[in-house]
Amino acid sequence: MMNELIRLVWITLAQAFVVLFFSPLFNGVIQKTKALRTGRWGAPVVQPFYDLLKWFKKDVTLAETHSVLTVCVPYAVFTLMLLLNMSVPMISTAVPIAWLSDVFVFIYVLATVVVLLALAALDQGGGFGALGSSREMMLNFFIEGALMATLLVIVYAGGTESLALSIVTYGKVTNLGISYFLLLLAFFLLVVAEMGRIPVDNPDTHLELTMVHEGMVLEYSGRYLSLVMWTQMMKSWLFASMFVNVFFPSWDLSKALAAFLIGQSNYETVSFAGTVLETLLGTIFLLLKMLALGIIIGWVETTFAKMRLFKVPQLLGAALMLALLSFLASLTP
Amino acid sequence: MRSAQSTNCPSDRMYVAPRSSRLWAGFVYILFFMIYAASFVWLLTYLSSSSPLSHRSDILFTYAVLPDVYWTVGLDRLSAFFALIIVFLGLIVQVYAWGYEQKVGGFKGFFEGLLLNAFIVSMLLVVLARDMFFFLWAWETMSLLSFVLLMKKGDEPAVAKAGTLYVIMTHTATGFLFIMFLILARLSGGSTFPEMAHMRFYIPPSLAAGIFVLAVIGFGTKAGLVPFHSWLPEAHPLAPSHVSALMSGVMITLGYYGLLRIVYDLLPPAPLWWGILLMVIGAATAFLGILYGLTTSNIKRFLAYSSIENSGLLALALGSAWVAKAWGADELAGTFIAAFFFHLIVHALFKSGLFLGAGVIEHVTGTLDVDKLGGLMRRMPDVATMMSLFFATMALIPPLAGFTGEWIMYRSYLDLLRVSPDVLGKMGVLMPILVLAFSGMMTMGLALKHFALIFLAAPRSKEAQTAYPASIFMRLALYVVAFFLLVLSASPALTYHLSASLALSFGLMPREPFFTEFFPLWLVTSIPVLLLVFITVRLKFGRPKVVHEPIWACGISPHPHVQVTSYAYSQSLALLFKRILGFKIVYRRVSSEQVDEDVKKYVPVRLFHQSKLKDWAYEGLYVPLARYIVRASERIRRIQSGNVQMYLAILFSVLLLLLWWISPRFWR
Repeated sequence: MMNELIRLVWITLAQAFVVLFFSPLFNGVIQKTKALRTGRWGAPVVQPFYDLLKWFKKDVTLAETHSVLTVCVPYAVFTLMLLLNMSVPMISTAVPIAWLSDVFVFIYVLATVVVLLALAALDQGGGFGALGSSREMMLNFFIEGALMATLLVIVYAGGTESLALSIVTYGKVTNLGISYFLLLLAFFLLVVAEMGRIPVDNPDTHLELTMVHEGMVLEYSGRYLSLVMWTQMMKSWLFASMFVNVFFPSWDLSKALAAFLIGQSNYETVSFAGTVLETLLGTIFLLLKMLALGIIIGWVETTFAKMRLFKVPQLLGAALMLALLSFLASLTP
Repeated sequence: MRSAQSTNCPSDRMYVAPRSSRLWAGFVYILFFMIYAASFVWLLTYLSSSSPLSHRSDILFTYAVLPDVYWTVGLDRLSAFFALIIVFLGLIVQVYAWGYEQKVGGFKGFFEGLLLNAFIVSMLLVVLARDMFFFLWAWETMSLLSFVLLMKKGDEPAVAKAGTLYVIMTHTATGFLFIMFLILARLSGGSTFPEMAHMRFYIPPSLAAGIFVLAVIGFGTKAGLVPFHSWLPEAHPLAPSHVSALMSGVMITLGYYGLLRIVYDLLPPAPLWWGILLMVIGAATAFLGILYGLTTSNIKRFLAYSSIENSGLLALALGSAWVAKAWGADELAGTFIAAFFFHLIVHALFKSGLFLGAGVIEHVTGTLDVDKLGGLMRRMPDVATMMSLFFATMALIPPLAGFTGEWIMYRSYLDLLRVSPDVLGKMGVLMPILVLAFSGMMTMGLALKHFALIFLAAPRSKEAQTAYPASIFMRLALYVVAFFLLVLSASPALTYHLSASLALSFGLMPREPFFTEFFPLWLVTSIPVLLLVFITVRLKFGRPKVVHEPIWACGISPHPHVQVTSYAYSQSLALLFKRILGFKIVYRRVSSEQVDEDVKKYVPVRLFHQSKLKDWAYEGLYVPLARYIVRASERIRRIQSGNVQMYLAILFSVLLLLLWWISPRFWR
């Protein structure tokens, strides 16, 4: 019992560390890839992290018309996104907050984050914020619907309603069939959409015609901006890590390697040191996978143009249809 | 704008009739308040003490109004449940109406109080009726009284038109119910429900199907199911807010009461296709209902659309229960029925809260148009807080009761996905899940839009700037609703037990409550993390130095009219669903006095746009039907010539006809 508790605390701390500190770096990898692809050296990979720290130190300018919502929302969305990140298995099969990983709770908490940000954008009363907020809610409508279908396929295959368990088991219960590849494609489209990346949204733009998420946070500054941006990075990290962990699982690999290194054949009775070793190996594997995904996403960003806003629902509709087809394919072996 | 907090209210908005002239109205409200309070307590004890399995109704008394025509009244758990909700809302409405009708004194106030309570009592009679004559009489009384209540401003042409539409639709629907009950009475040879129930297993399937379809049309019109929904958004904005709250909170769900009564008491067990039919109608209603609410800027109209959506969700849950039952998953069917009642309770609470809140806003600003509101959070923080709770419940924000109800449905669908026998069934079950997700996300966006436009940012009109604090009685009603909603959110098991016991009385055993720990767990995890984040930031970086500046408006000084409007906010979605909405934007040039000089400088041509929404059901079903009925009535009116001889001749011929009808076979 005590042993279990210590393990849980360790996993919680390790996962929180990974989420908080590697999510800006993931962003940095994408930026670096983009820079290299466009013939520049670009900023160092840790630059997003420096930006976050810089914003924290700055003073805050707020709109005159804001209410208490504006200052509460950054803390709230940061907390919720951190909790969501803790509700999925990331570096080992253990999950710190298991109850939140009910798939429907997960999706609705995710939507709550979007709603809070959209509310804050409207709270300041600016035209740009409202524009971004309006667009975000429009995209959210399609994204969450497609996400529901996609996650349902995973959860249905896992034979449970828990997203956390299904993420671990999906790789084991499906074979590399048509269903797997269709779902991979659907999930990839969703990852791009949830991250707010080209071709759905362009995070580097400050042009009112194109911005979605940037428009929403336009009136934010200082520590509030930092919290909101960090939230967005954690959201990217959440979806990207879910993607690589569902479709390219390495749970067994890190477990077996840890057992081998520690000299135990039966992993069920492994010591605390074994758990630590497993999470470290899991972190290394995860980072490697995320590095690859970051490079791929950076490559996509520099290869494709941003879509017209009204074309994006077609892309997300395609994701929905792919998920439905994948479900159909998984039913008929 | 900070500078705009002047407090010179127009006097007509502030007018309060003298207390002495409102004495009789007050007497009515207090009397009925006490009656409802006593009934509320009694119904609660009845529901908690009676066995869930004693479903069959026990007749309380029978009274022969005419030879062979009885008025029978009875009570069982289903009736008691609906009566409980009616009485609860009745209680709140008594308090609220005292504040809301403060301009009306004297006999008029007395009469209005009486009319309101007659409406509530007629709803009670609907759920207590145990024979077809009394049921139809109460049903008609309820429809007519609601019509009278919403025709308060009947001298305006638009109101008169909407009212006419409502009265025609509701009567046509009652016509279907008449036919249905006549068939049932013919089959069973009796007019009371227990007599009809004796014969239920001998009804041939084809006839049962016909009766079911008639019931869906008749009761579905009251419940606002697509394509019979169009009266809701027309009628709701007209009524006083507490009447809208009653209509939306309970009256539309009485359609489901009727459907449950017919299907579970008077018809043979539901086959699979009944469930599928109701699911398809429910899914269409849920999605189209909220989709039609996209572009409206009248808050009560939007709430009416949301009621259509929620009514669709109720139909979805009910239909799914029958499908699950037909697939042999009794426990799942019970859970769906429990989800139905759970959602019904929560919807009755938050929707009435929203309507009452909308009434407060209308009262203090004189408008329901969200494009003219804004910044009211600073004017009335308590109303804003409670409305944010109601809107969040509507928007399915997780730890609240609205989400819990939806979550029970989601979980049951996931189970239904696993028990469904074939691939087609599984793909079919995916559809309601997607409908729930899509309509849920749209509701979220729209709820947030309406909350933000009313309460956040800067006021968009003088009315919103000069809003005065609302009467304490109106706010008290809101406090009560908010309190109960919080209780339901904190302990969903309480509601679930009640819902599950109702499912039990239909002979279905639902799942044990499986979510009790959600709300406390939510608090236990999120609040410490929130505090941790906050304290860490504070310790590391200190208190923020905050500077307040005007928002960025591309160089011109920001003006409240630059803020987003209701239509602009959802334009992108509306354009994407242009085909379904049949929706058209009309631009034209107008001159507007509201635009300030500094804006005029930059915007030489001021455009006015109007979006036209085409509701297919309205144009394709309602308008032709209304036209036909009006024309037919005009034809029939010809016999109403005022000539006494003519009337006597008609009477005589009808008498002859009847004599021929009842005469022995020999003559025919």
